[in-house]
Amino acid sequence: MKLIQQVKLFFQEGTSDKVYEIDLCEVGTDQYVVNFRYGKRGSNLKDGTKTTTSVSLSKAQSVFNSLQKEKTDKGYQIATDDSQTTVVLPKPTKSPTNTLEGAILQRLQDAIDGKNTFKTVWKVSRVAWKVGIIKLQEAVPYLLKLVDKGDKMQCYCILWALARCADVKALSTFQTNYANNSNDDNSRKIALEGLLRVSPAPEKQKLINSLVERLPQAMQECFTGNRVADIESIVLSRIAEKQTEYIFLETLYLLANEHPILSKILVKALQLMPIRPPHFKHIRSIYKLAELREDVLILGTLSYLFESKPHMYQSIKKSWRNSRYVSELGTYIKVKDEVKSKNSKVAFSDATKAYLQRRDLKRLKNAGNQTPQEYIKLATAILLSYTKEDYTEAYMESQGYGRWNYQTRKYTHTFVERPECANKLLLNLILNGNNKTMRFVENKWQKGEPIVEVSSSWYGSTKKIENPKTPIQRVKEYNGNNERVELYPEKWDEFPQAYIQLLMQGKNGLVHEFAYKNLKSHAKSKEFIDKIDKSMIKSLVTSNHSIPVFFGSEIIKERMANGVDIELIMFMLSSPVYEAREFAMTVINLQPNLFLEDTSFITSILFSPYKEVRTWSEAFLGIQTLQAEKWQLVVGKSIAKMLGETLDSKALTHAHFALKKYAGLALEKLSWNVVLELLDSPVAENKVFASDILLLKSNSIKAEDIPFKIVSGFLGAESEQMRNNGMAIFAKYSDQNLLKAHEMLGQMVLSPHTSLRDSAIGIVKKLIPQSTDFSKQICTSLLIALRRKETYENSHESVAKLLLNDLESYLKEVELKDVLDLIYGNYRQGQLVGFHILGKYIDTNDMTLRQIIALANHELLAVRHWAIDYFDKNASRIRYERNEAIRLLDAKWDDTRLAAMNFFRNHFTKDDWDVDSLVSIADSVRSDVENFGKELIMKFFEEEDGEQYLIMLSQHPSASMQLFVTNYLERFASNHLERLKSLEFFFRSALMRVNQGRIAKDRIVDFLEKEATNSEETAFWLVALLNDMVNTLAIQDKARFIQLLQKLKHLHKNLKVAITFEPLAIED
Amino acid sequence: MLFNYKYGGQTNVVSNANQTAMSFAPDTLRQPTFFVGKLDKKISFREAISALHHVVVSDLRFKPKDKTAYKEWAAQQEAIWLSEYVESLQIDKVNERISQVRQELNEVYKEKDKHLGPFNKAKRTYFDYLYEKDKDAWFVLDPVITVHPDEVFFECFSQDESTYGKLSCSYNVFKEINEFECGTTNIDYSSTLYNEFQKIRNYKETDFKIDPSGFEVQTTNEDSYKEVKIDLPDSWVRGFLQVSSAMTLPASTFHLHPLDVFSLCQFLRRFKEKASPRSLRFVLEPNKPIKIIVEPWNKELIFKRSIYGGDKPQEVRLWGRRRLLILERLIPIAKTFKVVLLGSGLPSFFIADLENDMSFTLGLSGWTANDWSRAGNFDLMAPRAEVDSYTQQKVFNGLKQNWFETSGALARRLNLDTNIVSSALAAYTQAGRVIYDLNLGVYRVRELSRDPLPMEQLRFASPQEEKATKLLKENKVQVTTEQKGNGILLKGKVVDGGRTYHTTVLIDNDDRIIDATCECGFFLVNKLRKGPCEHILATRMYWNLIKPQ
Repeated sequence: MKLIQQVKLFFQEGTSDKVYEIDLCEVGTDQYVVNFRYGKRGSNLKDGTKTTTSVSLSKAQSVFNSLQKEKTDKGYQIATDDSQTTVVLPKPTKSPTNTLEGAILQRLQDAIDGKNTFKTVWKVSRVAWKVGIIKLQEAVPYLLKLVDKGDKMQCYCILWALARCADVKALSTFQTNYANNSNDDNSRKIALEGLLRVSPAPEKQKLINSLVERLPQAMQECFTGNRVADIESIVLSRIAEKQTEYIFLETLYLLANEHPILSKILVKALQLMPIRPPHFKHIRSIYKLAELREDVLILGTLSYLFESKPHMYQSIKKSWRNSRYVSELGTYIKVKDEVKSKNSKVAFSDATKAYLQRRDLKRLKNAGNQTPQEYIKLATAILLSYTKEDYTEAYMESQGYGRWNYQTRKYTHTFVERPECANKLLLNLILNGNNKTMRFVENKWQKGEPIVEVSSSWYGSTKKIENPKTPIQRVKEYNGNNERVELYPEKWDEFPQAYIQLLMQGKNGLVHEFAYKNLKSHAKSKEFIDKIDKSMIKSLVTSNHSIPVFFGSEIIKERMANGVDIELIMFMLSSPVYEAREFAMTVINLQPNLFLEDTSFITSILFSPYKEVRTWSEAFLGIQTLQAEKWQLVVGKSIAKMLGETLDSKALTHAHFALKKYAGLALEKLSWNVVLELLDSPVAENKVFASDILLLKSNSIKAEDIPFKIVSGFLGAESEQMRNNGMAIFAKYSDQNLLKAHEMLGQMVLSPHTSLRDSAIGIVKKLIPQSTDFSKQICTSLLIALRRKETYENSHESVAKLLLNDLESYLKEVELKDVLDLIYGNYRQGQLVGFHILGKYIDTNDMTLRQIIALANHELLAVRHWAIDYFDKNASRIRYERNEAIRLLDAKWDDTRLAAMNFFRNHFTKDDWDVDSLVSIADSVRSDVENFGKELIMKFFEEEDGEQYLIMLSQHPSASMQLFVTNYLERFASNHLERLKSLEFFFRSALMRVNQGRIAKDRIVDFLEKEATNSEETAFWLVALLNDMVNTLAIQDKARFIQLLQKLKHLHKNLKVAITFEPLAIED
Repeated sequence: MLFNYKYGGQTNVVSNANQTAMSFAPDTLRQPTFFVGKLDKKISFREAISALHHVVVSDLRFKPKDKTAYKEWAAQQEAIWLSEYVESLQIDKVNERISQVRQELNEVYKEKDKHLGPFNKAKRTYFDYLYEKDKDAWFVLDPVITVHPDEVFFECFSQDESTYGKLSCSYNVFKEINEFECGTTNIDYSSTLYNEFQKIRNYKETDFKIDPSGFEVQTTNEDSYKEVKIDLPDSWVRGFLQVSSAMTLPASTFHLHPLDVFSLCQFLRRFKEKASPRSLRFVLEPNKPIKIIVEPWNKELIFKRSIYGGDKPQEVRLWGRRRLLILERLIPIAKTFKVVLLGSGLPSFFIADLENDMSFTLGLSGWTANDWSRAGNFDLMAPRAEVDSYTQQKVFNGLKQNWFETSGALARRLNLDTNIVSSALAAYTQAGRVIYDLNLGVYRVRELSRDPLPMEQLRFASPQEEKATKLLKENKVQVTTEQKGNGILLKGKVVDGGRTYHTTVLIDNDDRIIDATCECGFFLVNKLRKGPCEHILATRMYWNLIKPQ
């Protein structure tokens, strides 16, 4: 019996002190029992069982849970392991019930006693929640008593309140509730947070470690390696993936108190996540925890997100309808059932969204009632979430078509002015909450009263707001006249540093405008502005938003009164806002020497990501002169930058260009190591630059001193510039060395890049007259190229041209085998070159007849003609090698065969043939050649060879030849049993030819009949064949064979025939 | 299924007036297998190997006529005819206009021909050129050749996936055997070879060589190897295995006289059947001449010289009978034909005994076309009996020692039960690694492919067939039948996944599904375009079990 689960309960009240223990045990495979023990603490416990026979695990679990619930409902509390901390209620202090705290405590007391002293009925959970909100420490003992009673909601609320109060007394309650698997998840999460808050340091560390272990492996490593910030990229990539587990988000947030950076990471993650399943449940749980923690950063972000993200589906309120079309999923979903399922496919309905927005609004309202700090923190967090994209202009909105007025007999049109960001509830609430003209109507802000216009037309003319201004325009025109319309202006003024935060981190023009104006009009504004340091100014002027840049530029201009600060001007030069850069360029143009002193300034303008800065820098550097040492420094810094940073490719190209233009000398002097480092750089532009440097270097050193490997690397490079550089360096080689590089040149001649190829061909042509060895090598490699696939279109053609024009004299040395390889190669130009060599330089006496005949089968007509021509010209050799030569007749090309037949007809006489060769011509399976063979046989037939022809030709498988053979039967097989026997196969196969060769069959049967009648011996030999054949289905043949057999039987009584003859009974 | 071969050179047959040299290029990626000798029985070998060639190129699948050119012409012509017709009705003015337009049109056609003519001509020449240059590309799989201590045999399978051919040559066919190494390999094969085979003569010295030189290490001249990648359809491999696996099944056997086969071929050549049924009906009665009824004419062919020796009367129907014409060339040289019939619609074998030294086995699958209308008719790939893999391996290794053996002898040698050995060998036959020699009744080692074939993939022709087999096995099918017209209508109830599907299947005289319905989604969506659903198949399979023989 194995203990699976156990719970120990106790009950203490008054004099009563008892325990109740429940066990769930395994007794066999899928056999479980639930046992219990109970009695007075310390005494012998009585035991019993709830399962008379063993049951399945699920059944046992439910028995276990229901028993536990039954007991806790009665007031039992769950005991933690050994340290039995009993909760003893304090004597109810007689705090007056007319205060909030007193009323709460009284209500809790009532809950314990089961009474109600108030007129209204409050649920315990509601009371507990209230405790949590005001963090009423005195209520903790009551809550501890109540936590295990009641429903899940009550448990959850009490745990929440306890976690808020963070009282150490609740430690064991947190522990048990966290450890209890049957508790619902939300309660356990709250209990865990509570544990994190109240656990003593060592336990807390253990808890944190266990939390870290829950994270995915990659994140764990970040914690162990103290690289918590690295988690960001992992988190962001994980949420971009589909179908992964996102529970780690909650875990990370639990750890956020230990590692504050995690909060920032989570904010980023939240902004990127869709508020949709499967993320939503985690977002929700983070939201709850953030509420518990009063974490304004997360809450502000989420408030913004809940407001701006669209809901997923329309919720269903009425019960008669249970399914809803969810367009994002493209299907109908029974949403009520679906949302209850564990991995619900739907979440964030319009109702949920509205609920969460109400809750956010309520929180902001509550914060307004509390200290300025809390409100400002929350409001700032919310404002910081709004982005540039959220900005919408003010506009006039028509309220539909005109309405007919019977009295005036005109149409009236109504217009409403919508302010900027009209649909942003919280933004305008915070910024315009005190603006009496603004109202939030039907989910949008509206400014002033509706404007009514009377017109005779049904269509209203579109109204526009006159001269609308953007926030930056208003800021530029700002004259210190600031009308304060935000909520709680006095709270804001207490924390002017919030303005600076909004300016630095805000992303929305309205927010910036609000912060700028308020900061400027603040009493202590000068003091605060003076405190702004360089790094802050940098982040202001390099911001993507115009108002911060304007603000930063303003500060810089102010401070210029004390002298030009190069650094600040450089910040402005790198500002994304054009005006700032323009200002900086003007300042620099006024005092160029001041800036030229600073090499890092020059480096930075070389790499500027802005086009006009680059153009300007070009002109600037063109006018100004810089000493060589300075350029050296600039080059050094620039290369360090190229190697160390990832740069915009346009900026990089510009820097390369400018350096080549102005710092050529410094580049030439660069050390090898630097060039090699640039070559190894993964950035393609840097490699090109390195090749440029090498080309510059080759002016001062010998081209051969640059390692050959590097140059050949250039030649195969992707970039054209690099290849050209390589070629330019290569071209500087002395002829001596170029001759040695024949392999390289051979490859380059075939390069798919035109410029490279052309210069290589030029070099090769120049070198050919200088060295025979070189020419031979080139010739060989070109011939090989002709047998390989084309490296570019028409490469074979140009190679062939090169070979025939410039290397002709070397072609005669090509060996026969190579020539044949070329001719039989797959490429036309190669075949042609091969044929050219064959025709011109090959000694045909070296070729076997077989080779020549093979050429007569070549697909090129010219080659075939050449072979035939050879035959015609060398008749004597052909005659000598006749048996080989007749293979020409088997060529697959009609023209070759025709020519071959002509050749043999014209050049061969009777004496040149013998039986074997003629028969082998007739043996061909091509009917034209077979006929030609027959023709020759008939032409040159000699009586004494007849027998041989008969035997040989009879073995031919074709029907026509069998017919041909029958011609010889009479003359050469008559009266010759031995010969007949040797022809047996012929007879059989001719006679057994299905539905073919009628004439041959008839002839054979006639012949055999004659033979068999003449000779008894023959008859006895023949009868076996006839016996076989007589059973044929062809009536004509069958009759014939029967007749024949009958005739033979009549002649030779001893003959064993397969049929019996019965005399017909003739009727009278 | 992709097969890779690397042949050591090209197979060639070179013949001149005095001699012929056959050199087969084996697949060098496989275990070295070679054979060098000279042919003795030349003519018989020529005829037999030619018959084998006919198996390789045999393709009796229905090919519709290409009518595109005609249709193009007809479309053009229709306009002319129409105008002619209108012409005959209308007055002169219109006629004039018509003739004018027609003239213009002719000009346009001429112009078109002038421009397109050279292109069309060049296209035609190009295709002719391709055909000439690449004739070999028209073949599917090269034959498999196996060298054993007692014989050499060639095997091949037709393009239409229905005909199997095997030519076994005992060593008596050869003389002066030089060297050989037992094993199986593929050989390079091309259509020109057939032509060269025809030149074999008795009076010419003929070398026969499965070339061992390809296996020698070659460092240069890599291109003398010919690499071939063939993507064979699964159904092809499946068909091959099905036929060879069928050889191991019990069957009714009898002999036919060569002239009987001659008569049969003659009848088939003379008459072309135009309506179904198109089967051969073998009527086998003990100690009576074998009778073949040729449908649809019901012509009776009685072979008086061929007596059936079996002990119970039987009638077997055979389809795809035109494939038997492959045997024509063997009639003059065959002593007798042994016929092995497994049953109606099941594979059959015709073994020509060629003068004791050679035998040619023609295996025919149930039907010419492996199409769905026959689907689910039989399952030859089903495992027969359970034998654990260790024993299987032991049996296989045992067989490998001697290369061929009867199951009884092997069982004695390995001290195993004959049944176990037989089922193990049957399993290997299904996997294409062993072949049952019908002629001698022995099992022979023959690894069809270099790597073992994926049997899971080959077991069933389609997922539907697999499901249907399962349904049948779980007794979820009920069928009632009724006669309808010429065929039989099966009405089935198939329980699948808690639902009952009602199916109807109409089967014609040729045992073919000609119409079927079901209530399942697959059928509703696809009708019969993608083949029958599992329920229709299950109904049909059930019918196969219960139908009266």
